[in-house]
Amino acid sequence: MKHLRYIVCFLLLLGAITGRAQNADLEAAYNCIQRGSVDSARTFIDKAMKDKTLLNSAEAWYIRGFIYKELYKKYQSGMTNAPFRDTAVTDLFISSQIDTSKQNIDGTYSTIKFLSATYYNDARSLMDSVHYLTSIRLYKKYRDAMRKMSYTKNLGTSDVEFYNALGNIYTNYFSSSAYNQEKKYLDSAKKAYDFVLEIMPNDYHANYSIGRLYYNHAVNLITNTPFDAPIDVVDKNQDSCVHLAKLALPYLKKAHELESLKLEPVRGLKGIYYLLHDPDNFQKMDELEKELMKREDHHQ
Amino acid sequence: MRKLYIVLFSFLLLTGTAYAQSDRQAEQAVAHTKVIYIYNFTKFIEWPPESNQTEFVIGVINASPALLDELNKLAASKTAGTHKFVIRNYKSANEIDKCNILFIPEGSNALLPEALKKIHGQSTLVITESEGDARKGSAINFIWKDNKQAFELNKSNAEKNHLVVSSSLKALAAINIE
Repeated sequence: MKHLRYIVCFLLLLGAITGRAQNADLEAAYNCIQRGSVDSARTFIDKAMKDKTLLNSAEAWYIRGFIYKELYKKYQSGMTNAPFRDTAVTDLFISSQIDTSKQNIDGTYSTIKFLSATYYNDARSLMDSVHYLTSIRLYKKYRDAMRKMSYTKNLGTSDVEFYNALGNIYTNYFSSSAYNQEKKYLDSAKKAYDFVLEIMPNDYHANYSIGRLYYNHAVNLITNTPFDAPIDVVDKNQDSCVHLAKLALPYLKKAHELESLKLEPVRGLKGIYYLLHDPDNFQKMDELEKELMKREDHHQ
Repeated sequence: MRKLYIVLFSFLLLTGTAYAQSDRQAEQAVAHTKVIYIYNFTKFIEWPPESNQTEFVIGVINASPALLDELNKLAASKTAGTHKFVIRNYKSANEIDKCNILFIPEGSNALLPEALKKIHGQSTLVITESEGDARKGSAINFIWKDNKQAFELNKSNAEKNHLVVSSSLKALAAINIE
């Protein structure tokens, strides 16, 4: 109902500016929408938009966007592939661009925000190891729409949450791939977490996750080396392991710095120092781990 | 906005937080490396024919759970030539009996002299992992070099126990003690 109020206000406003209806089909589409006949409204609006003079009409694009939004709600709500929704968003953005007075921008953006939220919710429900590619596609639509409206480069918290979650999906794929040879997943996970750190360098989850990613890879690289591997291969794998452990170190240190009472980064650091044969730091982390565990027991 | 925030937050709840392998996994990785080396040594060292029974015994004094686990995995999947691996975990030097390889981990290095007495006259490859042990009687001593596991070789200590060391192993050693 809120959106219908916007459309009425918008039409009154534009009607006043442009001298009212420019096209009979547009009028008919508007009347149908008022009556709730969304399918008839679609027929009229599509017909109306063939009139080239309406291509520069913010009113016409807004009505079409509104009608397609209603079509989406009626026929494609809950569907991840929802062309009505895409059309509605596109039309509403065109309307907002043509509407140079920007007097109805709140109403237009309110409708876009509603549709964007549905992209977001669908992206969220599909963020799993099977559907994550669709989730990415929908989140990008949400992101593009939100960025266009806010003129910001990133979406802060929502980007952080999404890309951290995406990083986790890639990490899980990487961990379960045979002998961890699927380097593309490692690279994708790193890229997702790096994106988070670009926005929020002090994000605990991204720092911890990159550290964990490298550390786990280092461990798995060694434990997956077959017993009959020649010594030169073992040596080469150890070189890679040391390299990865050193890559993990600053991220886990940072995670520990950010959340000094959390056990996980301490355990990760302890493991890295063990791999690097750094007994002094290993000892320090071992003592810290015991202290934190005591603290946890005390709080339980 | 509050509703949106709650929804956004749940993105991470959906994928969960994976945790780092614990330090035990690191211990397992280091133990795994040692066992790969040990398995390789069986290929580069020749035991005299009379020592070849049906089993190839690897004895360890006070093996850590990670090391014991790795050795058992080796025994379950590989053989030394045609011989089955048998793993023995000794609690003290006194328990040491006939074995082809005797590994004395760092924590038990004080038992080296006693262990050497126990295997005297046997064809046993003694492996240690404490600084200076290759000069104190072991044939192979694991060391850390550039954050990596490597080994030093004392060929004459091996030969004293009637073992023949291949020149290839000498080339692979980080340090050769003459």
